[in-house]
Amino acid sequence: MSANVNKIVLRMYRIGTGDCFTLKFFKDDTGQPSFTMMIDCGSCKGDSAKFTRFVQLISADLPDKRLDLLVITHEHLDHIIGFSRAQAEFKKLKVGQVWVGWTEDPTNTLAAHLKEKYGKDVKALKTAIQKMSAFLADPDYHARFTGEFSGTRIMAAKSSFSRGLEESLALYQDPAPLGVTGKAKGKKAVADAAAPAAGAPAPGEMARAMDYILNGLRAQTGQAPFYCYPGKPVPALPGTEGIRFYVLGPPENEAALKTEEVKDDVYDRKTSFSQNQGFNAALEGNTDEDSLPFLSCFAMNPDEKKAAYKKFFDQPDNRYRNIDTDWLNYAGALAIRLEKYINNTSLVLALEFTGSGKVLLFPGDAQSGNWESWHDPALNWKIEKGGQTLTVTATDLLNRTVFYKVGHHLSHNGTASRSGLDQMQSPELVSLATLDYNNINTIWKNTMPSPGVLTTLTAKAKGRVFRIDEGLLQTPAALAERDKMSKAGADAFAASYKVDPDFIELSFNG
Amino acid sequence: MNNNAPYLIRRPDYRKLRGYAFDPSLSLNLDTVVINHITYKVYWEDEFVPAPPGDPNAKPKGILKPGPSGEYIEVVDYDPSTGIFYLPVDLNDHYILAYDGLDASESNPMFHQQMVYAVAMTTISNFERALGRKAMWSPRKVNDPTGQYTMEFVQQLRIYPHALREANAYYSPQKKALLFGYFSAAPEDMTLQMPGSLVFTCLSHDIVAHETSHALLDGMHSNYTTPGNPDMLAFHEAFADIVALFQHFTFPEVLRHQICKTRGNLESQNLLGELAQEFGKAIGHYGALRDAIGGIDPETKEWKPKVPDPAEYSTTMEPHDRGSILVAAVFEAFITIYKSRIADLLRIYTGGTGVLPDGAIHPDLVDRLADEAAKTSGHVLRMCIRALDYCPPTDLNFGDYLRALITADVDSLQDDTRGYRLAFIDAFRKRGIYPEGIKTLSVESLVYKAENIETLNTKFDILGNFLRSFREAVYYTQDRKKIFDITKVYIAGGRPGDPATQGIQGLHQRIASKFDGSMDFERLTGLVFTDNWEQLGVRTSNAHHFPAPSFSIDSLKLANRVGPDGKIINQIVLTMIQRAGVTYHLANPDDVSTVQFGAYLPQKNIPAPPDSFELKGSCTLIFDLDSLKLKYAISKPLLDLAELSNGRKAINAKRRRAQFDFICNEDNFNAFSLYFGDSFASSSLEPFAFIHQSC
Repeated sequence: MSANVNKIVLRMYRIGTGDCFTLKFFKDDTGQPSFTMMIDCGSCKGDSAKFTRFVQLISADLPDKRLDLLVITHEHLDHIIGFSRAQAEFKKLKVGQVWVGWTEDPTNTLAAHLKEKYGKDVKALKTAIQKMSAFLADPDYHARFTGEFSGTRIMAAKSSFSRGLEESLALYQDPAPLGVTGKAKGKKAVADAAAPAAGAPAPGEMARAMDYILNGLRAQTGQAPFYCYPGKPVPALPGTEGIRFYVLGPPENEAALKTEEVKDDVYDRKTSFSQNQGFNAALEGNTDEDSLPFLSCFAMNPDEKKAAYKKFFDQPDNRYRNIDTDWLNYAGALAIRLEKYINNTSLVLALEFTGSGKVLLFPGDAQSGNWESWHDPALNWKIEKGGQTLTVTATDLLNRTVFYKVGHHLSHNGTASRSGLDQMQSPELVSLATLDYNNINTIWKNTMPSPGVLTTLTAKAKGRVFRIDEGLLQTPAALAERDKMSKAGADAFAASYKVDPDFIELSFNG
Repeated sequence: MNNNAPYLIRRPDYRKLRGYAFDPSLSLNLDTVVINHITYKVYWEDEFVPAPPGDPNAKPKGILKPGPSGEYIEVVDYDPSTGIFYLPVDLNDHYILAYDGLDASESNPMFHQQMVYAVAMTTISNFERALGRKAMWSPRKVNDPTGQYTMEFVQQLRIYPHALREANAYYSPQKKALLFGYFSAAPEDMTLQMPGSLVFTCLSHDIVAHETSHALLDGMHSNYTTPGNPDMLAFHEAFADIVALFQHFTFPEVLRHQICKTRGNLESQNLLGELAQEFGKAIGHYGALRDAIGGIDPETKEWKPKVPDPAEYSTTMEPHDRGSILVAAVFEAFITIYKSRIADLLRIYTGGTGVLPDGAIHPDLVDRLADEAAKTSGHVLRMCIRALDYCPPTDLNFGDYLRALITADVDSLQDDTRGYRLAFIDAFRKRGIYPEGIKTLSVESLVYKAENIETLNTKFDILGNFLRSFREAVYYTQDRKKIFDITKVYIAGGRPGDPATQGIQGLHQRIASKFDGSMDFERLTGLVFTDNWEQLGVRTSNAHHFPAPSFSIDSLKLANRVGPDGKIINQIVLTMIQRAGVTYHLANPDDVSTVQFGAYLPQKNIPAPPDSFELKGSCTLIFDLDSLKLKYAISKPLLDLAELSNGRKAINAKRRRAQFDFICNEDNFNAFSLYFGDSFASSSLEPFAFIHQSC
């Protein structure tokens, strides 16, 4: 006779800016969970020792070292690197099932097509980084700018930009091997230009993590990972009676996946970038006539070209006008686009208490296109309740959301307004953001937290917002909201959470 | 060429060069191909002045070399993404001369070089005509061994027609160059553009004129690229758009065609109001990139005029979007003036009914309307360019620009019978753009005024005489490098050991000594000249062998123009800047309102402390050389003037706070600058590269 799950205890582990959640489902007060699950394990910063310690903590908290379900939302460093850096610890766990998004399904043609298409962009980005690093390592190149008043700042800016690109690439790829041009060989290369971004994965780590998730874990689970499709049923999960799992995303639609920001659906809208094959082709170094803009009769021959280059770029009064690396700045747009695309492939799960209807929402790092797609009229679920068949839509689920794991670490495009936050109506809403300012990518510092999202969220959740670094949010607005709670309400809230140096724990009663 | 009888074979006034009036996309459409090809008339750069005898190093002047490379521009056709250098065009080749330049062609890079040269030169000459002086590029700052920097004259602006592989084009203040990109089209409507076809930004008149205007504006006010408020970069964008837009109205054939098509109503969508057609279509937006007067409704896909919304000015922060508010304001002013000018023509044509008959309007009327439109646009363009002289050198906002527009106009025209000034004020008002510190929105209150301060008048007298000698030195030379060098000497003082200049005491020294301790001058300029400057964060300068607050003379220029009463007026425009280091500290890191400010002294080779910024005070002084009086003082005060009148010196808290808010405001322009912005932390490096990343 199985009772229903009536409590979920959620822990967000404070590794750094990155997701790592465990959920324990309880049917009674014995303290023994009937079901355990984990969503992601990663962080922007943190070495093997750190991850190992956390995974050991997690393991100690799981009865019998048993993890019934492991969910991986998407292939970004801050969600999966733990599987490489603490792999040995994970291997000690008993794992029931692994769920990933359909974008990893080898039999899905759209997934294969997307992998190939974005694979080209990744290749282009790596090449751009290589080329830029080669220039930055070349003392001759430096010498062009050092006479200028802002010369050192220019070079510092270029180096920092290159590092920013590497950081962005490191989110989802092992770093590119850094090339050194022939000119610089034998000369003392400029130190900071060639060093990879601190905290970036060592070569092979990301690949190792993904390989473990998709293949290595089969040894522990005894089966292949389950590829989740929005709206489609999920496998049975013994021990979760009373909880229904909904898959809302990623959408099986290329246009939606490409959509990073929808104008009226995003807080603090920024610009977005479209694809540019010409740039990729130029990086490949393709020089046959078809890919060049003009016929070769217009080009100078090698001798003329050498003389021209010398005349226009190698004289003391025009060296500073060099444009060899400016076209590579576009790689920045490429990097941003790639990061956003992968974010949009996030697996989105909603967990519902079948009795009360309360929903816990885990959107990974989904962005506009993903959020919008949940409201596609074709996406709905038919459930049995009280002898009737009801149709559930994403709006219903959002209306009843009592827990929202903030998308993409409180960035402006990780939380939709019209398609998302606006529809969260529950007065019990609590929110957690996996943002840790002390352990974060430099390039993210300006984009997180987004003031628009934070303000709205604080108001909706009546100040019940947590961040990895601060614990319970301490902004004046949040404090003001919490002050408004009645004594009973405040007591109940205080009883429902616990802030520990290593984790933040929340309990939800069904 | 040996020209013994120059009066028989006259040197040409201009060189004709064919090009696109808009961009290649219009040549694909039967409707528009007729207006797309025009012949630019460009200043003839081939004055053969033989080298002076006896000087082995002297070169003949003004020869236009292949490239083209001339007095103002050097086109270098190097494509770094493919490593290919393209052969330069020789515009003096007799075949090319005979046929008004090469045929318009997207596939011939030499035509690209020709087009870019033609449009840039046209823009430069419009600028020179409006300002009445030679156009200068912003000087290059080069480190010198003592740790200071020197300003080096930049003769030519470089243009790289094929520098980038993306839908982007920008002016680089660091390289003193224009970089143009090319890319494959990804149009939304495949009937307007072949997907995958190459689009060259260097072939768009609007884009080239826009970028050249950035360079010209930078040459006049090089501090505008270091924004201290949301308006500055927006102003750069808007100004460049305005020049490109109104430059179009100087093409009579295009004008006539458009007037015919819109039946005289220039407010409805027309090619001239749109900027960068092909560019916009190619990257997937209907219509043009920035439509000043209206836009395509995303739902109906029809063009809709833009209704001015005063709320936009307080909420829109992205430079292009914010700039387009200003462009729309100026365009509306233009339309208002145009309409009032053609009102009588329409009355005559329609016999008083004011209703135009169906069908095409009479060609004579078209000609007259085109005439009026051209005249009006010429006036508006001139007003907009001239206003630059009346702008403060730092911290410009749109309200200041309105005041500059009105003041410039009052300074050149006595009777505003056509109501030009009111048209401008009205258009700005509708968009919520109000200057600070004025009590009413009328012409009289908008005009800048210089108080008549008796104690300063004698000093201005003496200064005026010095400025007159500057005018004498500079007035007769056409050589831009000479003008630059003379100006430098007059600002900084003569070079010791150089007999030609060593006797000259520079303006900087004169001002520093003459107004040292002058509270009146402090009040006039808003800059510190008396004491306690270090407490305010202003460095001490010993440049003239006595400790004094550091300040710099940003520019010194001659202004010759026809005055309100038809007489030639001689003015000197002089700008000064003073910097104060400001540190900030947040008592509660989450609460911006708890900020506390302190001061630090900015030193030349020492990096600034963290959590700090430089607050710049500045002042534009305009002297009338005929009367030796100060005519206008346009100031962005460093000091709090209210406190000053109570005898206390304090930094202008309002401006300091505004700049702090701007720095902290996360509502930055685009994802690119947010992610990688810290890499280009000082925006003097490449402020336009990322703003222009396509949306």
